[in-house]
Amino acid sequence: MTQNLIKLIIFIGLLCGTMQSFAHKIVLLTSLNPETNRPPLRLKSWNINKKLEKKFNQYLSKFNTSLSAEVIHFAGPTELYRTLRDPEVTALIWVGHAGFGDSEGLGQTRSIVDHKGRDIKSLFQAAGPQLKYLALVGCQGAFFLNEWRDKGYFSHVPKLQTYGREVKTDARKGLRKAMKRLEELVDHDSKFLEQETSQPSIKSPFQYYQKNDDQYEIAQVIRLNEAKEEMEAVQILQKDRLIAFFPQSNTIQAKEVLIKRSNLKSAKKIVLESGFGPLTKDINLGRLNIEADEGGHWDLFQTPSGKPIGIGKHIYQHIGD
Amino acid sequence: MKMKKILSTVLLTATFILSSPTQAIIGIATDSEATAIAGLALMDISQIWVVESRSTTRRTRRGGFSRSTYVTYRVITYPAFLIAGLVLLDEQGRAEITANLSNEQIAQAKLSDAEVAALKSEIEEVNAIKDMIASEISSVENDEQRMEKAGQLWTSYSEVLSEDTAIALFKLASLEK
Repeated sequence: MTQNLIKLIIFIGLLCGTMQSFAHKIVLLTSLNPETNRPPLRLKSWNINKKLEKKFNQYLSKFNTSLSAEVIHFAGPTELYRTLRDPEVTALIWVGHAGFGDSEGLGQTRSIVDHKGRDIKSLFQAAGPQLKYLALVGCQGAFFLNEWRDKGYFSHVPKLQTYGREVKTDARKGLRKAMKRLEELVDHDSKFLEQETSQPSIKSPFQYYQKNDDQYEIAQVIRLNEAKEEMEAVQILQKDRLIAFFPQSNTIQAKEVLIKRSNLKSAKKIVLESGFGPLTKDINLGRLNIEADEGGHWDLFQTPSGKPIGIGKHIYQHIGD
Repeated sequence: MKMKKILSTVLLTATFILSSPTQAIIGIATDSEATAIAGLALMDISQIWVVESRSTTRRTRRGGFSRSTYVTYRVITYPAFLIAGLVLLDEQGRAEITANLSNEQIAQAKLSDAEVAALKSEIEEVNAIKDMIASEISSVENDEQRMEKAGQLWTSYSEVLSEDTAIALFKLASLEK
């Protein structure tokens, strides 16, 4: 009797373990303000987020395989980052405004913005190795995805399938097409979204390291501190490459990240980016404190009178000895 | 419902988008020392072109049918799309200055290798300055005064850029005029 009970417990344990290793989830992140995304002649109750969620669930029910699903509205950089890094999330669909255009002159527009107008495009580089499908439902999303692939931002996720359109996109139509594409992939390979038991051998270029991690040669320590009040989520970039992310914080607490030497570009410059545009006021970015092991020091880009230059972003320049 | 679908289809299928207006950067020369840079105006992509093709069929006096096709070109604004119940996920107005210059641009602006390299190296700083200026001129309502103010600010802020970058921007902005 006791033996049977032990066997049963072991069996349940193994079953749970198996389920854990094959956990896979599809997440819909929407970042649209219903008030500003309501077509004319519609009632106040017309809500784009509710419409998208309903459509999402309808499409999901057509899938032959069972999927764990989650919908997050009003997603911002913190939610996006967490979802991209969530080991259980194998499919992510982002719905938000985007623009990708070149002028013949000096200007270009390259923005994927959340419901608050923050540009979050660089955060997609944080895609974790578990991610199998990423859909960018926004105008000209395909151009972003192509550019990121060309720049090698997804080289650590070689099996990642993406979806985006090259044209201006309606939210619901874009979502339908993104779900259709995912359905095709799952129909072709029923285990497409399942986690692999062994993680890919290619290390993600974007990950945090521990101070005592001997496996990697740590070149720099970046601390974000001196926050006096609520601090915005910030991306740490080097030559457009995301090297770290600090989520939004309500506490006065220093944050720290270690950067692997090989992840650093030769350019000695680090950009602290909130994503907010130039017409936004009063953004608390805190101050970066960068410790480098190659000597010299890091200065904030500012006017001779000491005024930081940049709205929603700060630039730190390395000054050699 | 059917009408809504037809309208959506017509609008979507009959739409083609010409290249975005290239008024992102509007240059004004403000300093003969060639260290001044152009003023920046926010990109205006609030309008797009659509082509509409409509056919009508009518009966002729002889009992046959005659078909006429009208093709009209017009500029519409986004709300016109929204009438069809669409929520276009377009992002407007976030313009960046790019250092990805074509060989033709470099030749036309007569940029030296050092100037191109400097601009590429300091492009983050250039865009940070652009944001500061865009913020500072946003409260100026008069277009002419705004441009003038932008020019003054570029001149002032260019002190924190290298000379090569400032000159490169000045040359490129002059091309835009």
